[in-house]
Amino acid sequence: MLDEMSDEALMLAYREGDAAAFEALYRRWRGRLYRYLLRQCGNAAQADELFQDIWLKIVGARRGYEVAAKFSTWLFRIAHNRLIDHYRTQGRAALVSLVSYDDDPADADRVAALPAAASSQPEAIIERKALAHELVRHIEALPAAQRETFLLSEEGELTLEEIAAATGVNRETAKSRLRYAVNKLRAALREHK
Amino acid sequence: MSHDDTRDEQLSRLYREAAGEEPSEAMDRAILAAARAEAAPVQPRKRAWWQTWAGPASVAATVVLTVTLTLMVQQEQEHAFIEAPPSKGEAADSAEKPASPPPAVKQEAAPAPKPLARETKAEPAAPAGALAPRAPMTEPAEPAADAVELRARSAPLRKEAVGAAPARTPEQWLEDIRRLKQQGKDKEAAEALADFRKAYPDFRLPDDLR
Repeated sequence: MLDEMSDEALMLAYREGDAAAFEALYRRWRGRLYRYLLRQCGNAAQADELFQDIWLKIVGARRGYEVAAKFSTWLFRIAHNRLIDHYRTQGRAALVSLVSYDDDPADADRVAALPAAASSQPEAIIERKALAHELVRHIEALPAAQRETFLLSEEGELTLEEIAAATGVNRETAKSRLRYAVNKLRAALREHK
Repeated sequence: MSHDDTRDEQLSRLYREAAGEEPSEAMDRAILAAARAEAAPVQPRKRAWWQTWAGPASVAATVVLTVTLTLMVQQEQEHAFIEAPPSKGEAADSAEKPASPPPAVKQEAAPAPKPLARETKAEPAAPAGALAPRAPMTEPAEPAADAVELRARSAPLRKEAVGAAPARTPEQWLEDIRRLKQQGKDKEAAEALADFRKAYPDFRLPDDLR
């Protein structure tokens, strides 16, 4: 029964004290949120810390929860803000990279410049699994804002409007970032094929 | 999902094949435990037995203490009136001044028979510790008239303490009145008795003087 409920209905049930509803909701989103954070931080320990903070925020917001947006948009909005706080403590460069609207075409060079990790094993490159891992490496090499937009699209399954709402930008900016990210990844994968 | 030209299904499929990282089970347990704790109904904190009874017990103790203190203070005051000897100044004062009996008796002082004059004269010479009221106090009081007599006895003491009047016990006063009656001075005896009643309204009069 819980599996058939929407995210928002589950969160409302949790607001009323149904802990099982929260568990169902958590199981739905735990992996997606974790990978979003892991790709953004590049560090499992930091991802763990952020992941826990974000879910505890959700838990803490239980009593005042109202359905004002899709649960996933709300969740990733919290995650985005928590990441900004994290970057602030890490240094200005990372923060500027995340909030920058600059989609410099030169960024594509950074992806193209990545060393071919499996170049010494040409047979393995053919294998799809290796290609997938290569894709992850390229994603991690994207500029933070483009990477975040791509991850929100893939992991969060958010629309452009929802990505814009979660990251605090307008739809066109979100669209531009996503287009850049996808084009760079396509190009990088073409080079490995 | 309509991302138009920003969506690449092949890219998405490939990414999902690679994206298998998940949080640890320990993390899952910690977060779910926190979620359950937050949703758990708030249990009213059970109070220890001594906390439950602390309020009523303190109120009862306060009441008992207050009542005890009040009774003790009342008893102390009564004892103070009865037992307190006059100060040196008062004793000396009474020794220097001539005896001044209550007004009713004063009127009788001139024609008074010798015994009365002797008594009034002798009073000032008595030592402070042997004031007249002391003697009746040692007498066993009638059980029913305890309170009346106690007040009657303490009255002259109070008078002496304030006005240094010569002490005369109610019994002595009544004896004087009785003597007046015996001498046929009924009017004076009646007036003296009226004065006596004013001075000792609670005193139980002997049958022969009623």
